[in-house]
Amino acid sequence: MKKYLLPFIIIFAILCGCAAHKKMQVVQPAETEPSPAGIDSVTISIADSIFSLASITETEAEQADKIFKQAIELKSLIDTVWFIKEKTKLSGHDSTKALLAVSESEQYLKINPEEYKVLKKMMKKQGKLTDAVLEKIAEDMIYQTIFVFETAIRKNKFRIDYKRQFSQFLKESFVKLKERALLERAALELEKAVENLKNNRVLFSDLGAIYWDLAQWQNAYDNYEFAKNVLIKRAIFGLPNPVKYFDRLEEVPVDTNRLVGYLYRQAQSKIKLYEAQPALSLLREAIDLTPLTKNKEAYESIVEWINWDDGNIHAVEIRDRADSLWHVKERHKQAKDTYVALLSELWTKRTKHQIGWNISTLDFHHLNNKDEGIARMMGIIKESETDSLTGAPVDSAYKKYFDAYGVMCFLQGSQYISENLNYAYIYFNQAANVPYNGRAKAFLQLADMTKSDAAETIRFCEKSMNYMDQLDEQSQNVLYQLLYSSYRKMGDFEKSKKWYDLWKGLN
Amino acid sequence: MMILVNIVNAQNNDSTRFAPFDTSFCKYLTAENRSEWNISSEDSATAYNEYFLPGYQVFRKFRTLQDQIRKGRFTQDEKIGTIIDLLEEAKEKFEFAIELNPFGKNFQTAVRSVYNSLERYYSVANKDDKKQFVDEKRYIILNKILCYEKRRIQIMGVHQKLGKMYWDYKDWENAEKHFLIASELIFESEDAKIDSNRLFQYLYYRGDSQLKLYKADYARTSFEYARQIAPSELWYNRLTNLIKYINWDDGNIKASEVRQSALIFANQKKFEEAEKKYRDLINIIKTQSALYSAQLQLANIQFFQLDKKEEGINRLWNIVEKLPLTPDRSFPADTSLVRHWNYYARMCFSLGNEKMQTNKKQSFAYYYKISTMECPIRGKAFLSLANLTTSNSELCLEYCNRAHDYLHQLVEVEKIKLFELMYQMYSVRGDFDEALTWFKKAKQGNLNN
Repeated sequence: MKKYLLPFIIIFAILCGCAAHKKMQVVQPAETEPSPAGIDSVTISIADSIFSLASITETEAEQADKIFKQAIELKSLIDTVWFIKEKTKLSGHDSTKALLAVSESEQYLKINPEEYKVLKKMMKKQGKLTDAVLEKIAEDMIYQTIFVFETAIRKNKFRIDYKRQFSQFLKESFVKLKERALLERAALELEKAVENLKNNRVLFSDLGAIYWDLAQWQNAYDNYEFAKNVLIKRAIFGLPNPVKYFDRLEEVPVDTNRLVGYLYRQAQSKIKLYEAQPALSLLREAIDLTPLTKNKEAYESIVEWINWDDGNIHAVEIRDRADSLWHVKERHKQAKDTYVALLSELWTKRTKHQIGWNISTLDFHHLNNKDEGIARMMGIIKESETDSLTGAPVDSAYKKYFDAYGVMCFLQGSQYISENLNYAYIYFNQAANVPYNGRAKAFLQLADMTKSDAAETIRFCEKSMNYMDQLDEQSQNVLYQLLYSSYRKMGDFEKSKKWYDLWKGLN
Repeated sequence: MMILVNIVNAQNNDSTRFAPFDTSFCKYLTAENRSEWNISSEDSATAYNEYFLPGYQVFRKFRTLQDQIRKGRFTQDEKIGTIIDLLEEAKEKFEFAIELNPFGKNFQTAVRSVYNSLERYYSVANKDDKKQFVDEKRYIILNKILCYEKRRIQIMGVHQKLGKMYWDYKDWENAEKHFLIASELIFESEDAKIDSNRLFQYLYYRGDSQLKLYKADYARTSFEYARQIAPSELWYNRLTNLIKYINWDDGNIKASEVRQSALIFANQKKFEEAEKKYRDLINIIKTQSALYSAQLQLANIQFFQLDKKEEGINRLWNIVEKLPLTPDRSFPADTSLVRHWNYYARMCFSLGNEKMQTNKKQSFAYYYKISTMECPIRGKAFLSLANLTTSNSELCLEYCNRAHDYLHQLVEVEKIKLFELMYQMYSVRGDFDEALTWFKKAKQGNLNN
């Protein structure tokens, strides 16, 4: 590993303008300057100590700036190395490809051509470069760059841009190395920055984003709240003619896009915190404010998502997880288990029925637990509110459950028809009693099963005929055939002929 | 007759001095007891026939010419040369006559008449290039008049004229002597009719001569008397200034003179010369107050005119740092030194501004120093400190609030700057309501509270 590191350390040193260790390079003693004329030493001493609370000397500032620029140069070099690593991963692990990647990175990143000359030279000597080697090189450089950034900030603690750039670097480094500590450090740097700068919306926003990445939702929410507050409260300060708004501050125009963005991120934070009502309020505010239809629709869909179980966000998440499992055939059982576990978490009857329907469907159609599936579905149907006259669900959303149950009964009847006519008759009869879109077929099946009793057959056929729109041509053919043969058996040739003609007409 | 034209250098290079008056002739002009004189009849006859009568004829010519001038046939200016020549000739003859016989009939009257006329015409003669010559002649005549004149007012007049002549020639010692005699004669007089204008002149010239002679106490007394009878407010003020001039270094007139020339150089914007004068002055000053005053002037010239800022401010600092202060140490206990205090503050402020671009730390030190001083730019100093501490909102606001305490010292643009800083700092601290209050003030131009 060391043989790969060496050239980069040399490059690092070249870029920093020294061949010695970084620590030796950045720490330089400040030159002593003459005391100001005409003031006593006590006053100078007090003044200097107060001055140090708010500023530093020009020399110190220049030194800090120089170090900061070194950090920025190193940062770009790290980006280059990382770019090469990504390229070599795609191109294979030979130096020719790596060199090609270097050339591409030169065009891509557009930085210091001299740096690339050195880099190319070194790469040629290396032969094979693996991702691991490059990653280690980048990692080492990242930690050295952190030290350089820290030194610059220590030299000039008043430069907020140093802290922001540093935290940005840490965040980018986190993306590369997946070291959570880097992100935590980025948050810490920004926390220190906002401590003394509570009117910087961007810093709060950056901090909110970092806490978001750290999954510290309350902190993320709080910082977006600060950013939003700063955006609103400072809006008047940036107006070309603020005086006209002094008596009507509520009318001060605010950057709506940014405001909506903060509201959205706050709402998302609240969702992560399982606080549905605040999330909904924020989203509704965002919906009212956003001028973009696309955004409005997206936010409305999130509102709908939250409201699925009356604000039980945890349940929606489990549902989504189970839904995604359902889409993988091998995970149907896992999906069912997740849905079953979810049932006890649900707050509303409606969602319990919905999830019950999902479980029934999985059981009946995918897991071969037909009895369990149909029983669960029957339970849902029984619990459903129905119209006393038609027996149809009062809530139209429930129609699909009735359809599903009816289909299940019909399928069960169809399955049992060759094994157990009694069971088959019961299921078809059950399906025929469910107000669903396959009811006519269920009656037709019952009619077919009672052919020995012509009157009974005619009775089922007539019931089936009540739902003629549910019967396709083939079913209608069967219906007419059953009717004409049943009437003939009963000796009513006239009616028999009528149905015969209709049957013939279809053929 | 020998004319006393010896001009000798006086104490001043520019001044001239008349040669001492030879009083030997006075005995002829004041002779009283004939028995004490041994006058031969030949001398008496010679005096009369050869000198008096010809002299009288010349004098008659003068009288005739005088009549003609009076009647307008000639102007005095046209004939003044002739008149003086005639009178000189008559004087010469009459003096010879008196030398031979001081008791000749009408001799004394004639010579005194000629003296009086000569003095009068010399005094109005166009002197131009012959000034010294004419003045020397007049000087002798006046001294001769003094030999015999008994009337107090006439004597005073002669001393006044002599004094003025000496004064013109910067012979301060003799000028003082004659004006002193003239003024003493007035004081001794019991005549209530004495003209106060005349006394004022005697006292003024006496005082001025004493001033030139560095007799501070005498000059001060003369001026103080003169001031009491000053004919106008202008004169009163002028004398007051002269007394101040004497008193500037407690009677050290030489110091006042050097200071005066330094001031003149400064007014003429010849600052290098002025600086040199002030440096000289510092070495001859007696009193601390004058020394402080000179140091202040020198420091100001060095600091504000000659770009010797370091030397200038150090000079003033050396004074200011030694001043006894009020208990809160923000103001000099001796209010007469407030100017030093304020100028020192101004210098600090100027250096603070100057260093702002290159050395903020030093700039801060200068502003900080002013902020500890009760002075007319303290508010500006607090504002500048606030400007330099915007990275520390707490500190900056503290300075803003102090600047606000001195709002009356700030000009409009500074007030706006202050309010802007305050709203920015409250904003930085996240106190947007308070920030808005100051923002409104800054934008509405509500600058006085």
